[in-house]
Amino acid sequence: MRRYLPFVIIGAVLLVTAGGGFLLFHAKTSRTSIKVATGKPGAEPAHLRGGENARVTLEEFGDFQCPPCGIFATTLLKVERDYGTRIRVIFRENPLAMHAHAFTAACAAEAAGLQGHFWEMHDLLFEHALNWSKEDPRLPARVMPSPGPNASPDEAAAGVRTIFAGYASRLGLDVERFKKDMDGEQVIARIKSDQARGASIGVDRTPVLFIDGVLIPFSSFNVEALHTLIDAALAGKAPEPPPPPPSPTPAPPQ
Amino acid sequence: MTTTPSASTPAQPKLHTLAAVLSLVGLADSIYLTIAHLTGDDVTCVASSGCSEVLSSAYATVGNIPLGAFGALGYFTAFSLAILAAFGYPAARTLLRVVVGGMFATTLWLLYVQAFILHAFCDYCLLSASLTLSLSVIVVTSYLLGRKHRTAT
Repeated sequence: MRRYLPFVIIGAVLLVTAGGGFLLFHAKTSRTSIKVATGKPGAEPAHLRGGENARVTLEEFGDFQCPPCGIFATTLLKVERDYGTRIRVIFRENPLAMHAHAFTAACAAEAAGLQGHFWEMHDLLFEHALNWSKEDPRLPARVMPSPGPNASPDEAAAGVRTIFAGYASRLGLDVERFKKDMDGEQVIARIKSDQARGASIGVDRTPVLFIDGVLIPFSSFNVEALHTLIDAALAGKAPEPPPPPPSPTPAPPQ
Repeated sequence: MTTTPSASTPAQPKLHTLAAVLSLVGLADSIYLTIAHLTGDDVTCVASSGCSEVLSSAYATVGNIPLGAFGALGYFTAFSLAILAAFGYPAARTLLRVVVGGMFATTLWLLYVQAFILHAFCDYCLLSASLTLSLSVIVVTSYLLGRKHRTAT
């Protein structure tokens, strides 16, 4: 019996370890619920990076051609690196009609997403936004809803589409499929769903950020403020945006 | 591996039992860190302040696998070998030295990363480092005792 005892001990420890690990994992994931603003659901599955089961959710509504979104993308990337899998970041499409190529860019990101490379295209689009945004600005915008009968969407955004196809090629995507998907129903439906979600929770500009369903003011779109808000959320407190700065008081008369 | 238990010095089984207990503590530590990583749970440091920096750094994973998972594998292997060594399996003693040697080298590298690259320390990583260093002392002591015993006989 003594001959087998060490193997029995090892087997028992293995079982206890596996069982305990499973229970701990289950306990932690079951109490993790995704806290987002209530409203229409948006495109499913959402584009998500960070910790799939993270306790804190950042949901951004963005437009690839909006300059503040580009700046915020850099800020958010830094925050994502700082927190790793402890936060979950969701990106929702909200291309604004005022930006000529925003909708085409959203289509490009979603088409890349169909090949599993949404975030790579998302990063590329923001990184090079200054380049493609200038592309043939005389072309009419392709905005929601669909362009009128006299405007061909393909012609309208031809310049940027070529650039986006180049990005797709750089990412190693099937470029022909990418081009086809950009005009596909699935891509359009995803963008519409995200926009419908945005509209249902009062998103009327970009970038807009929610942390655990709480709308974060634009004044907090910096690394330090986001750290404070995320730390509070990780500690189990609802993120409390800082109060707006006091209105300037007139200088006392000299 | 030799499956026949062999004679050892009286102190060696006790040392190996101690090594098994320490390995179990290391196993629990590693599993906790692995699950915290997989679930995105916040790991709070008590003694140090760099848990976030260390555990979310690029050094916290190899590929997509959290380092804690490798730690768990290492500690479980060390535990199994220590138990076998405590029951007098001589080959287990040799393998234990090899495994603990590898863990020791990894620990030195991770301490270097924390001290000189990340400039941040994490309690759980320091606990693991101290356990591995203790395991190293134990296996070296056991080896020296065994060698002295063999020379005497």
